[in-house]
Amino acid sequence: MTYADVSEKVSAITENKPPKQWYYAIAVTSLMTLMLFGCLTYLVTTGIGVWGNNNPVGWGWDITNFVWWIGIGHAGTLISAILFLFRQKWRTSINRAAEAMTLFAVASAGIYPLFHTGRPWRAIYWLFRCRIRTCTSGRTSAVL
Amino acid sequence: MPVAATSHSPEGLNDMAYNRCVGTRYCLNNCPYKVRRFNFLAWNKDVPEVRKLVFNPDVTVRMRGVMEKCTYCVQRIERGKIAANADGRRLLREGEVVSAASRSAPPTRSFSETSTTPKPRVEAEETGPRLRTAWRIEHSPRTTYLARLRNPNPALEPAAEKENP
Repeated sequence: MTYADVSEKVSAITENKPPKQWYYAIAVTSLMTLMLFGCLTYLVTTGIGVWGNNNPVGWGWDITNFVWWIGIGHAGTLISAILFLFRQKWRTSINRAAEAMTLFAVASAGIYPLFHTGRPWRAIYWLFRCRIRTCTSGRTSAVL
Repeated sequence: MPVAATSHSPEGLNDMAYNRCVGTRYCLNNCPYKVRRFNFLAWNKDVPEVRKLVFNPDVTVRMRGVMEKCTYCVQRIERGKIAANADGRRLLREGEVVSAASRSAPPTRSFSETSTTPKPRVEAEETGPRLRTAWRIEHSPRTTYLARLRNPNPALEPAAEKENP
């Protein structure tokens, strides 16, 4: 096998039209993404109670699912790190797949800090908090 | 929590600012007494605004997504303070501020005050030992309850009388 063959094999994936199975796969996954957006809309319009938790428990589904996705993200990074530390020469493709998994898992986890709040449209308050602390209540907040 | 919607006021009350609350439930998880309630769903979305004003003329009805708790009738405290200020005094008199819970069930609830309000009258009339919530955890909460002790242990009586002469 020459270098030209390798280049041809790799580049052909991006230069040709995708195979029919790809279209089926993207249709299915797009539907799933649309379902995500629909569910998020239902969550924001109806309230956090749709997750089924109630007083006095504050965090139920939100924190467990958040930890799950963060765990998946850790797994991808761990695979890359272990393969690198053991200096395995065959790690490149596996690294790539693992890191891609990590990225999407962290993206999935990243929706939680915003959407687990009761009023996510007011999340901008989180950015303006240092000034509030000194101007209004002083350093008297028990949880800040 | 992360937006400082709840804080300790200098008078010893734990204030809750409904309009600042973003609804992370951090304070609910950290509350040692678990007295904070979160509005997970819109419990009152079918109630028209006028009806809300009828039932709650002094306090805003919380929307979904905000945390709430007993405020020790902060609206009554503020009303008492405004009245005292109008008279020109700085301290409130005893009995001027009575929370709704104290008024509806007088001997069961009272709380000690700080700079602007004196100790309420109930303390002077108490007839039994006072119960403090969570006293073992050394929190020293300001809410105490008058308990009606029936059939006390004889060994307790001298101590109870010593505490409440």
